[in-house]
Amino acid sequence: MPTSTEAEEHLRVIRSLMEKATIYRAISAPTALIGGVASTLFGAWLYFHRRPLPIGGEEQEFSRLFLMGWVAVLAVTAVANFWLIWRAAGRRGERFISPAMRKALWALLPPMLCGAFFTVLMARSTNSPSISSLPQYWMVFYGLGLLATAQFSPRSISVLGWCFLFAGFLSFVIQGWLEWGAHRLTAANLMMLATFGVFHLIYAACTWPRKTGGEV
Amino acid sequence: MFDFDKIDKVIHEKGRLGIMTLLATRPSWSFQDLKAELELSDGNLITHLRTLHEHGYVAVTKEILDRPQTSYSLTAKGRTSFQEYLTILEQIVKAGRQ
Repeated sequence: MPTSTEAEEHLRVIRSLMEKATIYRAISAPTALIGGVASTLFGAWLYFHRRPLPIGGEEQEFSRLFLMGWVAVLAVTAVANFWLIWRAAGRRGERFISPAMRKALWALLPPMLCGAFFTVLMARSTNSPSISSLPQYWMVFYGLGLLATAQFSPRSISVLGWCFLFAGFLSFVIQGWLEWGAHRLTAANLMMLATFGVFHLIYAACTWPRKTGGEV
Repeated sequence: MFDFDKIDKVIHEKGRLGIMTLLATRPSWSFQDLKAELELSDGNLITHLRTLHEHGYVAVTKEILDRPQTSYSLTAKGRTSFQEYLTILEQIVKAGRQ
């Protein structure tokens, strides 16, 4: 007969495993890969083919392209994320909007709403100083969003959240240095490429599921 | 009154207990997901799953989605046995506290 201590230990194992099983990964490795590749490709394309010129009209067009392009990258990544979650839920025989997903969406809502609010507010002016500040807000709010899910996410999501948050802080600190006159939008674009592009690619590489061997 | 000596020895092993616990949380689990969650070696996991399958606690489903995949779920017998096992553990803890 097992002792009381042994039984307690087994119950503790069961409880901790059940908690672990309800962990929710708001961003999977494939989503991070899609987001990282889309960000890197768009950022690089914008950098090499659409350098802003110090002429009013051209710069305004570049601002619009910058904004529309990065919002499109977000939309593509978000659609891919929902599709991957839907597919994974189907494979596990679960509902698409699971209780864990609902919890994650509620946690993500305030920072994402703040990001959307500042985007709309700053995009209304379509002048480059406002638009070029957007990546800093996006980084901070995205980082906060990821950290808001930390209670029920794997550690890697928290690490990614902290990286975005500190990158956002750093970008505010070195803001003056980044504003290279007419090239401030180029700097903003490179910031996006380095964070939303490279950070996500690193995350995907670190969390990509490793192939396993035989099965029963 | 429970007969504590009747505790299910098949479930009462850490590796198999982990598998049974995870299978109780979702309708089915893939081999890869179980392995990642329990951090067991392929060989260990296969052995435990085979034992549970032989005792009729675990059902195995092989299907081809985008690639061949084996998934595992609790059978009705497995679910009942797991619930009984939990009840006995709780009774042991209670008895120990009295």
